[in-house]
Amino acid sequence: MGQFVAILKDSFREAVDGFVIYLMLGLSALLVVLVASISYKPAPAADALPKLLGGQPWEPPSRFTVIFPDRGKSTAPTGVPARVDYRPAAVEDTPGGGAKFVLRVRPHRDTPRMKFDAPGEKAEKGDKADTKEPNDDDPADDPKGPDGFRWAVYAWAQPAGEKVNNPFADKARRANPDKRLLELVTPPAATEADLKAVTDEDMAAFVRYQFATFAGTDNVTVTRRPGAAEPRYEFDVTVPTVSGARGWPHEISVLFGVFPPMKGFSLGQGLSFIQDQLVNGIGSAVALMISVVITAFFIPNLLRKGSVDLLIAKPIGRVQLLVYKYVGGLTFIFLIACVAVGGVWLATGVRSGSWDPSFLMVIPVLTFTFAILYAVSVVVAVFTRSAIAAILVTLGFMLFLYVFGKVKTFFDVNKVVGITELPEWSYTLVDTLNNVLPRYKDLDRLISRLVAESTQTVGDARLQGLLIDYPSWTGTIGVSLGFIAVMLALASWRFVKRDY
Amino acid sequence: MAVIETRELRKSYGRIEALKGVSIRVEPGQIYGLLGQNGAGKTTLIKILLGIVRKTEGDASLLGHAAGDPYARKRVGYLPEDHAFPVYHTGYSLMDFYGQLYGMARDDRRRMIPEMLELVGIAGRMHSKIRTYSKGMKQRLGIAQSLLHAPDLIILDEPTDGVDPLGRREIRELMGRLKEKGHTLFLNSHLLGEVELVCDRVAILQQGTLVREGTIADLTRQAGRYDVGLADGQAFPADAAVKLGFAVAPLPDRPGRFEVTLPAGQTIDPVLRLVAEQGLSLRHLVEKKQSLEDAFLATVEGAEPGVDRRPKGRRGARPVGGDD
Ligand SMILES: Nc1ncnc2c1ncn2[C@@H]1O[C@H](COP(=O)(O)OP(=O)(O)OP(=O)(O)O)[C@@H](O)[C@H]1O
Ligand SMILES: [Mg+2]
Repeated sequence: MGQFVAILKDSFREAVDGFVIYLMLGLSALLVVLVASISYKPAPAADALPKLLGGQPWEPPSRFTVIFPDRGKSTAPTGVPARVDYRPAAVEDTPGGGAKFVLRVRPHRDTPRMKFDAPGEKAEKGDKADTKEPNDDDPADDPKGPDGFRWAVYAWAQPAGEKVNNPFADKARRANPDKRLLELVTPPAATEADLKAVTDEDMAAFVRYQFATFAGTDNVTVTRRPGAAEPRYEFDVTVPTVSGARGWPHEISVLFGVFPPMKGFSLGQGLSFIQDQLVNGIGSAVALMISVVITAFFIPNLLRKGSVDLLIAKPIGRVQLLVYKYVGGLTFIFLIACVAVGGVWLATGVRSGSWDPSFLMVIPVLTFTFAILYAVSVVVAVFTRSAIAAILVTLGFMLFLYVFGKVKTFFDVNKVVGITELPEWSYTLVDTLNNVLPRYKDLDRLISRLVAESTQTVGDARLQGLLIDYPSWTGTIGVSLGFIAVMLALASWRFVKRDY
Repeated sequence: MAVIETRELRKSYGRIEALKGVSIRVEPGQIYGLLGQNGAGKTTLIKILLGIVRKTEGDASLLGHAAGDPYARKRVGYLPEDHAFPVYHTGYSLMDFYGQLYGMARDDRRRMIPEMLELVGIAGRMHSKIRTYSKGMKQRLGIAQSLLHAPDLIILDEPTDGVDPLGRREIRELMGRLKEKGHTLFLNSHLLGEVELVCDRVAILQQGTLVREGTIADLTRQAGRYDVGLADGQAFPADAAVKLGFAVAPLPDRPGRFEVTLPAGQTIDPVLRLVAEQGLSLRHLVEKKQSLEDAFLATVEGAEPGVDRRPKGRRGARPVGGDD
């Protein structure tokens, strides 16, 4: 243990010797300052609510129409066939950063169909819309059919129905039965009596749940307002505060407000851009590459004549020495990750009030990703004792994994969609390689997922999860660890056998 | 228990046979010197003992453990030749790192490191990066690190390499003190004058073979040889002396001088009488003292037949002392 700590400290010294680490820390600091310069101001409720609720006839169904049954315990969503629209009215901003408004619910009405001219025919004036413009405020004009809102509340409160696949995912499932793609649950069949039995409290709880899940607002009070004739409903909604609500549209301005703020993005979208694209995407790629270059010198330096004797002559086994040194080499990226990720987390936390610690997981995962690359570097270094060889091979391997990740994705998609006909053996080859190669790309996707879960609303993260086939942590880490172990075993074997 | 013991130790690096069956034994409390020309296999022997290089055949043990066992190295300090300390360390931090590897407690390290660096005279620079050290300072640091954990055995491969004359004397004195404290020292050196001054025993390696081994006294012992010179113009009665049983040989680099070797149990007196009887005047009479260097050169050259330097004989003593 003492020896391990000693070698870690030694590696740390080696890492902080020279200017590169300071350059990296400087870049990280710059990134943190950049992130700290971004401010997030909740949009006024009058602007925000229409964006949040959608519901104009030309808009796609708003997220509020997505239902997580079993009072939200089911992560697979459902919807009911009778679509409803949610619209705000009498919107007021309240002191303390909250909002008060009336939520109007009513059956959805399709956009009036346009009649287009057949090509070559001359259009005649007044011929365009031959349907009568329906009157929004006239309940008599509402489409007939089951009461969509009561059905939604009923579906929400009922246990989840049977899981079904969307037809798109069906083909994929046949190819690979374990695959989980866009899983939905069937909405419960509801009788007239069932719908009648839905209480006002259920409705209020449902609306509260939808706000918490899709806007990220807590402690919302919802009471049903009398007056509207069913299937129309009205609720008094009070949101005590929207600060930190991830789904709430925010005005986001960068560089301390030098530029006019960007409107229309939710807080979650802003944060997830910073955390996923900026830090986990660009930042970690840069950090990985520079770390590969810096650390490639560690083992060749250790193995230099006159230097290796000194360490081997100490009472420590060679395998231990090499493994400790390997772990020590990870301190470089760990340090940078701590400063960059920790700093960005603090900066976004202070600026946005969103303190989800999941983002900090980028630190160990990035270090682990580097551990894969560094294992390759160590093997090459032990065999060749050349830092240049270690750098070239490792960067080449990095590129190979990246390209292979893309190829694998293409094969996965191709299996589902059938873009092109590929021979059976090519699938076998790709799958076999995928089983033995470290899951470099998957680690990246898992981070994206963590970031999604820590920046977006519960509802959005769940919906994103349905679209992306996330790899499993155990599989990803397990295969990668196996790869690292094989690499280190190879390096150790060589190191132990060799005379210095 | 011997501190170091090797039996029929062999090592080949591919086709190069660096050691061809070397057996030595170092007892506790000795200062043991290993001599030999460049490439004789001295460093190889040390590296095998420390597990840096694997032996090809034979046995080697260190403090009772098989060589190569990490545990055997626990009580051993080592200064390699041509060492390259990691330059990102300061003298102090390097010692601290090594102390930790030896399992020294923090307090011991804090106490011992400045003490050891003081001992080798670089305590004033202990917080500077090693990349700013001069060659001799690095060598001194190397010695300090080999003593840090008060090891039972200290192995030094050319300890005074790159150290100035004053520093060399300090190091010699230091070795003496270490011996007094009961440490065993094993060293490689080309500076035979120094080895002669500090070592109890030496071994001479010649192309991987042990050619001589013994105490300094054993190796430098001279079988009564005298350097004799008469007054100018007088001829030494060589034939008469040979008849009396003395071996006589002219000293090639000093005209008129002769080396006279006594037969067993004899003194120089018969030769002096002979000189007096013939009415010659003695001007020069010195009992030859062989230095370790002489002994070494004699050994090394003697074991290397066919070298054209040999007939010239740089030292007059050699042809006589070449065989007994
Ligand atoms: N790693 C190695 N690979 C191949 N040959 C080696 C290696 N190390 C040493 N040798 C050879 O083994 C022989 C002995 O070398 P060694 O270093 O032990 O000599 P030495 O007695 O220490 O010489 P010096 O006085 O120059 O330090 C030499 O012929 C050398 O070339
Ligand atoms: Mg040597």
